[in-house]
Amino acid sequence: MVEAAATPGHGPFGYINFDCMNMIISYLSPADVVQCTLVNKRWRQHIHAWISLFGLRRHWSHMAEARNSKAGPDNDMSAIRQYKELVRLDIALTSGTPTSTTRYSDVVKFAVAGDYMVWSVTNDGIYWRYLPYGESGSVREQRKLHLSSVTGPMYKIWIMHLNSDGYLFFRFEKLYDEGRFSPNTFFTSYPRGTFSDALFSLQNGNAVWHEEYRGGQPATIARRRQRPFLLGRKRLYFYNDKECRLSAYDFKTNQQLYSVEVPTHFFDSINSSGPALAFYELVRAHDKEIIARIQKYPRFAHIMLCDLANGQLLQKISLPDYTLSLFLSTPDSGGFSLVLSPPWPSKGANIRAEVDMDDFRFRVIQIYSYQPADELFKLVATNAVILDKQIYDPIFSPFTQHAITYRGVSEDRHDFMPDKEFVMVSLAPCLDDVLCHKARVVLENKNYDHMRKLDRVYKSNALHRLKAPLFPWSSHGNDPIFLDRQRIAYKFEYGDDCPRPQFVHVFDFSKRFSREGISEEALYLTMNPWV
Amino acid sequence: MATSKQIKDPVKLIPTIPPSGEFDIANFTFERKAVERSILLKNMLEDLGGTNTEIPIPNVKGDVLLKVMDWCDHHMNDPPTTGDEDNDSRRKTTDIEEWDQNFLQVDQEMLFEIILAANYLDIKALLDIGCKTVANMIKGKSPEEIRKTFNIQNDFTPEEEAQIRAENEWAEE
Repeated sequence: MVEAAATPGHGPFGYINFDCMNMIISYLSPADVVQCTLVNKRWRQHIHAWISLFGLRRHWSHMAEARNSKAGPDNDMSAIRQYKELVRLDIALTSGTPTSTTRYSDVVKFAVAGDYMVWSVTNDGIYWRYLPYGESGSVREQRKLHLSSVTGPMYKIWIMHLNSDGYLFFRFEKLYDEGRFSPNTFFTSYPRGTFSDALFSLQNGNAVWHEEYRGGQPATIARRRQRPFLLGRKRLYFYNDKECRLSAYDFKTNQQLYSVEVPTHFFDSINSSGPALAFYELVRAHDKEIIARIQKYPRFAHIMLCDLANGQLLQKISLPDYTLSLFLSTPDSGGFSLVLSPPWPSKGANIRAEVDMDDFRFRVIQIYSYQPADELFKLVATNAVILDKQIYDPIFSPFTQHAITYRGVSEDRHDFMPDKEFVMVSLAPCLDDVLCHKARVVLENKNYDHMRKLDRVYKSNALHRLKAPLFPWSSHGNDPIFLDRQRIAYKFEYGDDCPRPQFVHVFDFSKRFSREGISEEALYLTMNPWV
Repeated sequence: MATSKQIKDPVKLIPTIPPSGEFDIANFTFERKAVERSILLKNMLEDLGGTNTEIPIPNVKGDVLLKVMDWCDHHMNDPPTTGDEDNDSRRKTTDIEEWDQNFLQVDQEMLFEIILAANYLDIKALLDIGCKTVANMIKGKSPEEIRKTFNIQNDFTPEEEAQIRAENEWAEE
């Protein structure tokens, strides 16, 4: 074109205008995009501009949604840094090569919050580890909490909660008789007599407070009915099934802050048949702690959100027609995402002819973001993920939207239980118009017009074996979980003893070294901003 | 070439930058249906009414225009694009079909000119395959290979280069 004078020596960037160049970049994978930033200054400037304007939105849309809620002066620069970090993680995760794998034996309970991991070991107490690598890139040593001044020599931990600042709450029972470590004791879910609650600081190893509740006393009965279900950053929360009551305590003093009756269907009534499944998740948004209670039915889901500052109901969300697979919330997302299985069109619907259902599986990801002005969560994006045929029941990372799943590796087809291995799946924007069309046909069918239009369609891109030990034969594996954006854990039980000994494996994909003396800002500022 | 066929409903496009070599206006007479692949020209034809069938094209070189119209000619019976990206489900495939691949086997400068022309004339399908072709030239390549492909000078200073390399070490496997 006449107005864009060609400048040789820059390839397409010497000829093609901004809009067309952006179209070209949008056809590249995230890894290709980063390679392009290394070509020359002009490319670097342009690609950086593309990343901050479109890049996050294209490849990690939920991250972009989160960023919008906290715009700042250095937003562009940190968008570029965040994008590159996600690409690094994408490569590390999908190549299946963790920077470290740690194995924990005989784990009874474990919890991860922020950079802390805590686990209790059969007959041995509580250990913790600070997860980020040490200065030399080493895995930090595990440390043991010295509990005996509080717990006595023998005790059993019933409930354990950790917060991201490294505080640990646990409810335990002192044991005076070794015989009580019997299988029967293991299967009861709660202490019956005297028990204690305690809060420890991992960093200094001391108890912040501890209190013993003696059997038979009214205070003990009341406290026992309150099931501790969450340790927030400032408050410790309890609920009481029978009385439908939510209570909060100052976590550093164990003083009650409030106790409110919540709408009756917030908790299941003990006697009702109840929903198929109900669980709780914490949502953090703009310094608020919000509890989401999710009731899952086969073709229906109901979410109630309560502000934990005062226990008041904020919002109810109903999802008719959909089967909820996962509720995903991250500390920095300013909201939550739902992974849903869409309903199949009823028999005889026209779209059956157009979409071959057997050949086509997908999940819907709805992204909700907290709107401080309205004190409500708003649906900000609806994306679809088209699943590869080989993918069975994936678990999505709430952080990177990677997925992890299993695949059988046994070559003997008559093997009843083949060995399984984990595979990582990366999601990329789907460029196949036929598949995108199919997803839209199913979702935007008139029967489901409460569903907003699909914003983006992703495709599960590739299967990459996670370089991890396989399940040993006859062990009972749990699903792997994403601990945070850099770490994955899976737990498995082995043997026929009761309780079964357990292993927890933690795969860490974070960077081992933080390189010093590299300031991307400094480099960026030496170049003229792209105009 | 358009001239070799019987044109039922001719439209003349007059490039303001004529092609290299001898300029024969007969070569720039096209089937209206082919011209209407360009949303810009389609709208212009509508605005001008049925009588005027000569349109000056200011921004596209004659050579490039001929090439672009070649494509339009081949695709003139494709269903029209709606222009609405979300609802446009008619583009059925990611891969570039064989005829289009052969069509885009041109030198890089011509490829870039075609993309710009498709953008200016608003021919979405052509713009798409042009951009995909360039993206395919970049995919899976190291920075050095990209430089070679497009004959690009590396203008980072050695200090900058070292810094960038350290920062992106993980990407250079």
